[in-house]
Amino acid sequence: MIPTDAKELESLFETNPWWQKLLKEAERVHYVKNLPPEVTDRVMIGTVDNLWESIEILEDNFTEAEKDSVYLGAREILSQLKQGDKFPERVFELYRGQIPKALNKIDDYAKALIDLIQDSDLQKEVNAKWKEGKKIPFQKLKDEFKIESLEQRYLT
Amino acid sequence: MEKRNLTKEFYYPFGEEDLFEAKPVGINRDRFEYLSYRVYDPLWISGLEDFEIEYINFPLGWAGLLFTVTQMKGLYDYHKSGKDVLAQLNTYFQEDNILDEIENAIASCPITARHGDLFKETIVGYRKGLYKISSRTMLSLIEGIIWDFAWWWNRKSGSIIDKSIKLEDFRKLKFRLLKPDGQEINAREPTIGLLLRNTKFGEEFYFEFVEYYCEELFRERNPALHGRNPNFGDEKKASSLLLCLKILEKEIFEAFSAWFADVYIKTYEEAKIAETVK
Repeated sequence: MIPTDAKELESLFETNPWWQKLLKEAERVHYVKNLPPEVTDRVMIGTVDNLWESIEILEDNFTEAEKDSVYLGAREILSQLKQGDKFPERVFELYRGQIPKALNKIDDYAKALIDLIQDSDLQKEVNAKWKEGKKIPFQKLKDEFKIESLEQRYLT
Repeated sequence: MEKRNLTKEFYYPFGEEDLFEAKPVGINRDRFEYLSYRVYDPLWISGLEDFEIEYINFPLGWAGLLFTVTQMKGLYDYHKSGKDVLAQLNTYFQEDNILDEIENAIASCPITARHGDLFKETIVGYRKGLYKISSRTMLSLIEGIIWDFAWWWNRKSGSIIDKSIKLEDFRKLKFRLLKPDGQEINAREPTIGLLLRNTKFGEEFYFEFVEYYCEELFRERNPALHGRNPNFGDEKKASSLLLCLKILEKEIFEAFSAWFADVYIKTYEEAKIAETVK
């Protein structure tokens, strides 16, 4: 399977793009696994930046947010913080105040999807599970709801 | 450079902007504005479009492993506007080196290497527009690669078959699959459906995209591979199956590199250091 000869392995690391990628990724994983619990500001900033990059908050999102007092309130506080300052409790209060609205939004999405289920018994069952707050992985659909075929899984 | 224990403190980390030469792509505003947005919208990270009605039929929901957020958004918007996003997939595979990279990955990865020659010929067919041949071959490649991945995973960390089984017996399907609780699955013979839906391997790597793109694999009697459907396969199907192989290859790479990092890197780095100080 894997070359046991060190020279052969070394040669793969030097010449084969897949093995080069593997070495780079394995070194990254090894590095991350061995990081100390204390994190430097540099690592912290890099991590947060990468998170934002992958989430991508668009200009349109900001334009919408700028009409809202919670965003403006948070921005007023956060814009004055200096590196190393503790986050003021007011920031957490503003955040917590947004949670009920967020939960209602998720509930609306879920109800709209449940309404699409054509089998009325299944619809009732899924609705009951949603109200219980039960999480069901895809592979358990068969056991939980007797859903087996693709036709049952995806609405076409 | 200050160090703080993140598990104990919540602090504002920014300030030394000169730590980095440039902000990453997509970060166009001050960082405190992004943090403010996070306060304003607790669902900012949730990917709520996944719960939109149009998302149910979005055939590339599993392609997030391959495409960037921006690309995924573009593909989803395309789908949402009523267009067939799978029909555009072949353009993705026409981009520079993508097919060459998959070909080299399959031929090089120790888990998939024995499928390398077949994949090479399959790609020749795909490039020539021989979609019926390449679709059929890719179906069997996907199944074969998943079984080989399952064999490797079972030896490293799993319990999906009796470990005393020899590889040759595994390849002849002379074994019984085990449920996550260790009980044998009572079936005439192991199938890819049972492997992915009923075992610990399936719980760990549930390839929903395989089931979606390759429903043919999950039918008890397979009309395409048994020759009863000579019309199986076209450009869209072949491109979908190729995408499936690409995602599969990526998943295998991640599992393999995580294992490789544990087993090999320490030894490799120590050997390198030893070599340097000689």
